[in-house]
This record gives sequence, structure tokens and C-alpha cells, in this order.
Amino acid sequence: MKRGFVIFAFLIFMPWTAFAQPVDTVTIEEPSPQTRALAGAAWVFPGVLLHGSGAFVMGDTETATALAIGGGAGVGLGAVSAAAIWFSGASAQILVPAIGASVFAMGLFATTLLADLYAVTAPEGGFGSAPDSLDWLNLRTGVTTVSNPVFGLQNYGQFGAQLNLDDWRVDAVALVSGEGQHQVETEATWRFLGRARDELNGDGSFLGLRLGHLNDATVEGTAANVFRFEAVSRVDGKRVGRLLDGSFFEFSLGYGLGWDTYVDEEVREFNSLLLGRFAYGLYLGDGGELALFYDHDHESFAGGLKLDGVASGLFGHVGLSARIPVYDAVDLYGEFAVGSAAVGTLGVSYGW
Amino acid sequence: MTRLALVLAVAFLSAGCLDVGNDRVEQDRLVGKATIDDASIEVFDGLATVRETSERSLTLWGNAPQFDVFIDPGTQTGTWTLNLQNVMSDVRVEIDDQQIEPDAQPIETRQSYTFDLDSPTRVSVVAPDADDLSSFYFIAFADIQRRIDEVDDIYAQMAQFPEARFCLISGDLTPNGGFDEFVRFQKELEALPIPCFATLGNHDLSGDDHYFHKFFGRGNQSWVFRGVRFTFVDSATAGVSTDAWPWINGWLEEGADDAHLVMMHIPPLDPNGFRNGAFATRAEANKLINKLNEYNVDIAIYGHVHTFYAFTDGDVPSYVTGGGGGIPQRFDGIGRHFLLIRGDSQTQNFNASIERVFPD
Repeated sequence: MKRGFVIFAFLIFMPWTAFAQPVDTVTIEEPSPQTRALAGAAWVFPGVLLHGSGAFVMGDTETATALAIGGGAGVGLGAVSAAAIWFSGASAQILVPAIGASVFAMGLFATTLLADLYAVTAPEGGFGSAPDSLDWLNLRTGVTTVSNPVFGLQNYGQFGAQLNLDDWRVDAVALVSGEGQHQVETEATWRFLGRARDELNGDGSFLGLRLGHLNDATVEGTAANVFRFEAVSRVDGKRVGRLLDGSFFEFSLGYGLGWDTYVDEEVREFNSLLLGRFAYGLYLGDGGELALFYDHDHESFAGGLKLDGVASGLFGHVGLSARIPVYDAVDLYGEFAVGSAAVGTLGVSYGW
Repeated sequence: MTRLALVLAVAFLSAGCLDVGNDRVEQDRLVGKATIDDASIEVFDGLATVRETSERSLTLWGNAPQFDVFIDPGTQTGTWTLNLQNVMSDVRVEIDDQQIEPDAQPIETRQSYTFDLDSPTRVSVVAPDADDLSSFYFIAFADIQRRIDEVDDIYAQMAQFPEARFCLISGDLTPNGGFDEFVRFQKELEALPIPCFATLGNHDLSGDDHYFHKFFGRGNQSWVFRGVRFTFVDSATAGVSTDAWPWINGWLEEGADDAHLVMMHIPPLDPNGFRNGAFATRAEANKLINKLNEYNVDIAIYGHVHTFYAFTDGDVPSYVTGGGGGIPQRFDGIGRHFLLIRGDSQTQNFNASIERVFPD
């Protein structure tokens, strides 16, 4: 078990090798349309296999090398972890490192592929940058619609608050339906590496630990309570390569422990789950962002993907999240995810 | 508001694409039905599959200890032949409560009958001990997959328990759900002296060909034997299809006061949640487990995870018995195995013992 956590820790710290690299601020000449077209073709082939091919054609060997190493590491780690799972018959003794590593490997492969596409298509400096500071308090409200074939269409009002205190962030969000179903999620994140809340200066990178709790009473007669322990990180693209300025990578891995109650709390059952998420996104303007993500969380509304084949239920869900500044301290935010259910959220936030 | 409407519309449309498995429920509805020119056959509740038909001849593959079949001969009145496969050796066939003599001495799980039909008739395949409420034995296992070459080891060991009335397999009969693979499974089954009643697993999915249903019958079904209700649930795509929920709710309600066994391939929750060899979403898993507890299910049998676990789903004693031969979970000291279970309808107790098969 200890060995598993060592490997787990290594995986989550891996992206932080990027912190050793100085931020490159050199400005280069805008590539010609022909170069971009050629780079786009290279992103497809050989880029799907050799990540960074697009950036290489764009003339940025540093970014190309970083993406090739990241993508290759994803393939290698994925192959090793998949082989370990396969040949051990998904043994309980190796599950923690093996499945965690496989999710991380998928993340390395997917995010470096998307990053190469960003390198080929984004203008110099991207479409925006991380904010100079985070709001100390942000309040939000919105609606979440869950369309699950088994449960039908469910609509929830969403109410949330985020408090940022130097290296700490505290989040709370409640979802409440008209029928009295509810879900409450609280979490505290310690950002032990990265810049303080009011000293970001356009760099949103951080590494942290998150402790959370989820209370879900959205299924009739049952309730789920899960404590979540996660390592979370964001690495701004400019720390990986010049052409990735204005983008970011996110990785998190963790463990959930909790209990479910049945028959209106007469019966209780303990359970556990793997938490793993990766995303690649881009900053929009000053503080806005757009990200594609994969989330392995099978406890969430979206849950895991159902497929008409052997792998049904194995994977988590995918989605797109966005935050767009619209006026002064007002942002629009939204998320759309697809797993066993389609989940859409749209709301507005205000920060101080 | 326009954006909100768009999100809702996309979510709604996406949900339609997410409704996986209802095609198999449609296949369930077709099991046991056939026509021979103007003659029609219907097995009640789809508890047997119509395997072959020809003029005045019918072959059925049983997927329950006893079942009724309605035959409307149309213009094909006269002498009919009924071939039964995968039935208990001591079942008898009755028409209007009159026992029909078999054509020859039954050969283990196969029997053949001839009788005259002049009008629409209900033919009953009856287990002689169906109303005996004393305890009885049966066997459960799952996940043969690629180790079909050595499954005869398991069948030979099962045969050492002649008190077992039948065998249940909770899915993954085959590696990939191919036609030849089902033929092979059926061929190997001839070595087993008792019938094997099955539901399907994720490795038995055959796309639009639905070979499982054509060979062995319904994925979702329920029947009663010796006072015990047996309910099979098709969870092969890591959940329960929306169209199957009304059946399952009904069967759970009907069995609430009886001894009740529920069997499916993929368990709602994996005893090791980190692995999640389980339903795709915890919400759906919790919905089903809540129902199992609410309606006093007495035992749940699963496969999918290639080891043995004895645990509880809430208050329901549950077993994962995935030891049919699929790549075994290492380091657990289990390997190939099956469960010998004694069921008692009066005490509503099920006692399961694990029987290991070597080499594992």
C-alpha cells in the first residue's frame, strides 16, 4: 500500500518538473499561413502518434520536445499500467497505483495532443492569460440540468461560494431541486506550491492538496456521503513551451471513502472510489477560461460512460467547462459533461 | 435564456444516445416466440428459447426449471414432436394435466416427446419437485471467457454434487460474443449432467446479432422453483436498461415476501470501489441496491470480477463468483471456482460454499 502511494505521489508531482524551466518571454515572428497549414497537417500525422509534431513544424523545438516526451510518457505509462491491470486480473493488491497511473497516462496523452493543436492554431500569447489575482470571495448561482435515461430529467438550482485566502481556497456548492433532492459539496484546497492569491501576476500554476466532502441525496431512498482526498495541480502552458502561452494543464488524482444509506437510512454500506481528472484549457481575456476535461468520478451526476461493448462502465465522463468575464466582476460560467447522463450547468458569479 | 434552452436541448438529445441496452430488452420480448407457417408458438414469460422449427416439430432450450408453451397448430394439426434441451432429467411434459411419455429414456438434459395437437394447446414442462418447499442445492458460477478449453474440469467437479438441481451462470459465457463461441459453449455444456440457466455478461454482447438471446434466452427474467424466486438482471452494459426497470420492479415486489435470489453479471458496486468493476454510475447502483433492500432480497449473485467476494449490498448477502476461467485476479489465492448453494424457501436462507477447481 505504501509503495502505491509513493508511485501515486510521483505521478502527481511529475508535471512540476516544468517549474524548473524559466518562463520564456521571447517574441517570435508570426508564422506564415503556409507554415500553420503544414503544422496542422503534421498535428494529424505524425502528430497523433508523435505529439509535438505540429509545434516542431512551427519552429518551436522546445515545445515539441516537451509534448513528445509527455505524450510518449503517457503511452508508456498507459501500456505498463494496462498490462499490470490485465495480467494481474485487476488485482486488488496493485489497483491503487495501476488504475491511478492509467488515468494519469490517459491525461498525459490527451492533454499533450490537445496542447499541440493549441500550439498550431493559437496566436502568439494565446487568447488571454491567468488573472493577476484571485477574488477573495466569489459567489455564484445557476441552474444544473441532469438528463439521465434511468432517472429522467432533473433540474437543480445551484448556489455556491468560494473563499480565497492566500494559499487556501474553500469552496461550497449546493444543488437543490424543486422535489427536495439535494447535493452539497464542500472542499478546502491548500495550494502549497504556486503563487499566493493576490500575487499571481498572470501565472495560475499551483500544486495543492484538497480535502472535500460530498453529500448526495438525489436518488430516492438513498444518500451518499463521500470524503475526498486529492492532489490537484495546474500548470500554465508557458511553463512547458513558448507556443503554449495562454493555455494550461490540469491533473488531479485522489481517493474517496464514504458510505451509502438505503431504505431511508435504515441500511448503511461503506464504499470507496478512485478520483482522477485531467484537463487542457485556454485562458480567455483576463481571468476567463475554457477547458476540455475527463473526470473519472463515477459518483457524480455524469458518472461513467455506458458503451455497448466490453468496456462499458470502465471510463468516467468527458466535458467542457467555461468561465467568461462579462462585466466588471461578473462572470458567466458553464459546464457540459457526458457520461451515463448528460449534465449541463449555466450560471453567473460575482467576485470581490 | 437562449443559451439555457440550448444546453437543455443538447442534454436531452444526448440522453437519448445514452440509453444503452434497450435493444436487448426488445430481444428479451422476442424470446420463445416463433411461427411455422400458420402455426404459432409462444413460451410463457420467455423462459425457453425456440431453437429449431420444422413442420410439426419444435426444439426448445430451457432457461428455467419449468415453463409452459402455447402451441397454436393452425392447419398443421396431427402429431407434433417436442424436443427439449437444457432441462432437468426428471422433468415431465403435461397437456391438460395429463402426463405425456417421452419417446425414449431422457439423456441427461435432453428429452423428446410426440403428441397429437388438433387445436391451440398449452404444453407444460413440469419439474416434479417444483412444489416441494424443503431446501435444495444449486450451483452458481461465471466468467468462463477464453478458458473454454478447460471448462470440462469445472463441469466434472460440479458433477460430483448430484444433489444440485441446476447450475446458474451469471454471464461471460464467451470471450467476445461470437457465434462460434456460443456454439462452443453449448458443446462443452453437454458434459454437465444438469441444465445451466444463464444471463449475459459484457463479453457476451454481439452487437446487433444478439446471439445470446438466440442461443440461451432472455437476459432479464424471473421464475419460481420450490418456493424460491430467481430473478436474472441483464447488467451487461454496466447498468440496467431503462425498459427493463418496470420488469425488475415488478419481480422484486412479487418476491418481497418469498425467498428471493437476484443474479446479474456486473455488480452494482464493486467490493473494491477503486477498481469500479461495477455499474457506470453510483446513482444507478444505489437505486438498484435500495430496491434489493426495500424488497427483502435474500441473496445476490454477481460475476465480472474474476475472484470470489462474500460481502453485503446494504443488508443483502452478496457474492461475486467470477471464477469460471477468465484471467484470474492474482495474489488472492482463489482462482477457478464455483459456488454450491443451498436454498431454503421456508427460512429464506441461502448457504453458499466455495468449491475451488484445480489447476486454478
